[in-house]
Amino acid sequence: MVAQDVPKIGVFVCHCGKNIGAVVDVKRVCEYAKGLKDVVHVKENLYTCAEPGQNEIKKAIEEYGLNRVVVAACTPKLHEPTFRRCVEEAGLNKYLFEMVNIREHCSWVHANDPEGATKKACDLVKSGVAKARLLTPLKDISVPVWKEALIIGGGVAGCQASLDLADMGFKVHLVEREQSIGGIMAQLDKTLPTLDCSICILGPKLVDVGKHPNIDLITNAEVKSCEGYIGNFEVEVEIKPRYVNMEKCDGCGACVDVCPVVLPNKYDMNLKPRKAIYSSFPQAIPLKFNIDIDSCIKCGLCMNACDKHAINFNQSPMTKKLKVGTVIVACGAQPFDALIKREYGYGKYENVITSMEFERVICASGPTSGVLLRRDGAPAKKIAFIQCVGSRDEKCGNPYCSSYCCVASIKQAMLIKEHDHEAEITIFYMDLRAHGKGYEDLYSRARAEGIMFVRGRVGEIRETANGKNLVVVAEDTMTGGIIEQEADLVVLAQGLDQGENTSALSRMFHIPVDSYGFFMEAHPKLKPVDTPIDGIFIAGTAAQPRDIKDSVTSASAAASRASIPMTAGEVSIEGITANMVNPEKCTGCALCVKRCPYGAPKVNAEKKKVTIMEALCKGCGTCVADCPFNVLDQKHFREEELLAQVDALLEDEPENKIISFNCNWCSYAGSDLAGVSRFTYAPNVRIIRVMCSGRVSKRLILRAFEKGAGMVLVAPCHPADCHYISGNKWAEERIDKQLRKALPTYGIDPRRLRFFYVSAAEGIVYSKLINEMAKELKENIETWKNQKLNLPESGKKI
Amino acid sequence: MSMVEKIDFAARNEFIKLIGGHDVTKCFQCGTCTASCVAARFAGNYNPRMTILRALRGSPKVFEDERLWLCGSCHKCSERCPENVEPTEVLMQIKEEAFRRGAVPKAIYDKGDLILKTGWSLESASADILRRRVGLQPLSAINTEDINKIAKITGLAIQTAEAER
Repeated sequence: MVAQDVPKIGVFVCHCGKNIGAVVDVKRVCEYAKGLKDVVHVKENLYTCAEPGQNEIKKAIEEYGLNRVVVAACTPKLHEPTFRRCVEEAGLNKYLFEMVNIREHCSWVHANDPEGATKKACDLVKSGVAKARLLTPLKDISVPVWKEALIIGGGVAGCQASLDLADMGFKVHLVEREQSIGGIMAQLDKTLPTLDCSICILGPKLVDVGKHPNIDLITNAEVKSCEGYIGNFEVEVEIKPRYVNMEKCDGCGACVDVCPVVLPNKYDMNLKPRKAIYSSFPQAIPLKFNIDIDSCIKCGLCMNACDKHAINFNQSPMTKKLKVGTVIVACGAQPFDALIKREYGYGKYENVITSMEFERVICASGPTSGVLLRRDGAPAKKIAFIQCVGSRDEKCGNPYCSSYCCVASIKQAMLIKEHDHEAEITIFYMDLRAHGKGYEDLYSRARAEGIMFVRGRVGEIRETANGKNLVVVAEDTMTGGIIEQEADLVVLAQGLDQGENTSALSRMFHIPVDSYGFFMEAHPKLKPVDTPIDGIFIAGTAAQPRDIKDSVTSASAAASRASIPMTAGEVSIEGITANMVNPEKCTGCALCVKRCPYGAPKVNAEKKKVTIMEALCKGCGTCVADCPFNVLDQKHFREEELLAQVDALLEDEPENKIISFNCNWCSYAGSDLAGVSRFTYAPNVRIIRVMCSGRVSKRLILRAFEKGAGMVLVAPCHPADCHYISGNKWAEERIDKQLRKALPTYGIDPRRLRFFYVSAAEGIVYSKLINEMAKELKENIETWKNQKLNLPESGKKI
Repeated sequence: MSMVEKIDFAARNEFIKLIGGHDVTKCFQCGTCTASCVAARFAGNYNPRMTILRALRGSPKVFEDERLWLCGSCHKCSERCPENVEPTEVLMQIKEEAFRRGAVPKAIYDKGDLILKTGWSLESASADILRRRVGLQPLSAINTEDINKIAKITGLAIQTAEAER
């Protein structure tokens, strides 16, 4: 139903039993509402949310031809969905409903001041009516979802996610950068805590991926670009040439035998040779050969040896275009570069090796056929493991715990013990973290096996004068002494760094990364495999350092999450998005593009104009508030609507009022919590709800001052907690920095503007803040009331 | 004395062998033993956790440390040790080894000698006086022959004799 030109507003004021009615004089509020412009019907209810209350609303819509409904009751966080449904059932668009919070924000916090509470309730109703008058009907956006998925990365996480989705019946495109899938797990000797063979359990999974009819395996390839939004991503994948025809090659290996070029094999951590034509490892999937064209001398021997005529030096890169509905990013992590920790001598002392090198050396198919030998061929008998190499280390930019290395080193020590029970093994650690199922048992077995644990981070490693042995120096923090331990082999337990392609993919898909460079989850606890971008999920070590089990768990979780929109076939997006209201004024300055963490605004290079991809917009309004030319507006939180609220709230006694802009997710919930907790505070605050502090434009604040507001508060989420990733950051820039600086030139004491972080858990903080502000206002009211304002002309860029 | 220590794996392995059936290597240095220890509470820097750790590091100083003998074998640590290391037993083994090495404080030898000679761990004249006053028989002599036999089997007698020399 489209809103008629003349608003006919119905106001329903709720007693909520005694919750509101015992403090607020509801009758007086009703009388007040009757006097407001365009209000044609006012009704009080004992419980508006109950069935009879809802029926009254429906009846009134019909009887009085209401085209806007205002309910003054509890917080919209509780019953806005209820009443939206109610008006919708009566044939009204759900966005023509406005809720006024006179319980959490009024009766519950001003129980000691019924008069103040009643006045405030009247004001809040007026503000609600002012907004309702301007409301427009909106439509949620429904987007069809293409039932194919893109998985980036063919490590164990990518393989698991692919198999799960493929088994559900979805077509999966699995893109792997290397020539074979398998990732880091394929390089490991044994897995923990069970010490079973890594490739033996991974190999069959790789075969399943290679053979699955629903999996389109694209190896030796990288994603080059991505456009679109949930349900409709258009992706370009570049496939690098192998110089071997995949269809013809049957993996016989005749070419390898004749190739004269010998190079170190990256798969074996460069400890074992390969040829210029090669496959990384025997279990590679697809088992197709590949020419390292930079090293190939083009002698042609392989061409002669190949009876399938598969060799083709004329191959060039190919681009494959995909259309997918969902994306799972499983591009992995990379082991920390041990060269950075110079005090450990990696790269300088030949018997200092990394944990990845150790995996190849101890592996039966590795360079020494599984015998633990040093580079000089001597067996290693005294082995020291150094933990936290590139973990818990601010110096090298990795303050986090890589979480897998403690148990991985214990596993490696156990493998040495399996080969050689007499080996003398010491593990130097800071804190031993063995938190998974069966991990403590592994640690316990290791101690029982006689593996020595020394609590102390290694300070330095020196080489002995003769024999290339090493001296490891650490404090034994359990005794306070310093230990100098001689070892003939030192293994550095590498932490995990962000994956090599993380930043490129982050830019391409607009997925934010955390301060350590790993992909960020939509919510660290409740949406651990979703990214802030709808339709894109993360699995495995792309999100954080993880061991195999956690990687597989996250992959199955991501597959399951990705299947939801694909199964539903469409997704609905709330209609509170940003949109272009004055496209002719757009200069293509792209400030909105910079403000949006979701990539919703795009600049059309030819027309120099922005378009908003509404399906990508999450509705924070940060771009709207910062648009220098008022080109953009946010539906349902239109500038006009919010200005009307400001004006309404400041009609009477403005000098005594505090206008508080609360973000929906943190400070609004925080002020609700103050209500639930009955933390009383001064009744002269008036809250306006926005989705994000990023939506609060300078104009809104200046309008409040223009109308005489005593003080203005903008209360965003704490810095790292923004529901829209960075809205609060831009709010801080715009309000707390720029506007605050400009206030004196407008004749406004900067103390009248507060910018204060309030979380959803900080009800007490909010109530104390308001009391403190009210006190400050009272002390300064005479001065501030008489400040002569020198505001920029309205409509002009502020 | 240098602060620098070395881990002596050979000595460590000997110690583990010495402890025998006890899973002393399972010790993860939680400190429950020291926290439960009455002696540690009242006797300055006596610390059973540290004693076990030093032994596991193969430090020979462990056996010379007179503080060992502050353990009263109350077994609270063994009762509470989460890893079943049984510190009381471990300390007992260390004490025995210290005995074998002749690294025992004189007072402890004197005590051993008294037991071998009298069967009592302390000489008490007042006990008999007290007993007489309440009409009890004086304490009967203890058959030290059996005690000496046990001491001989366990090697204690030889060691005390040696120590006296």
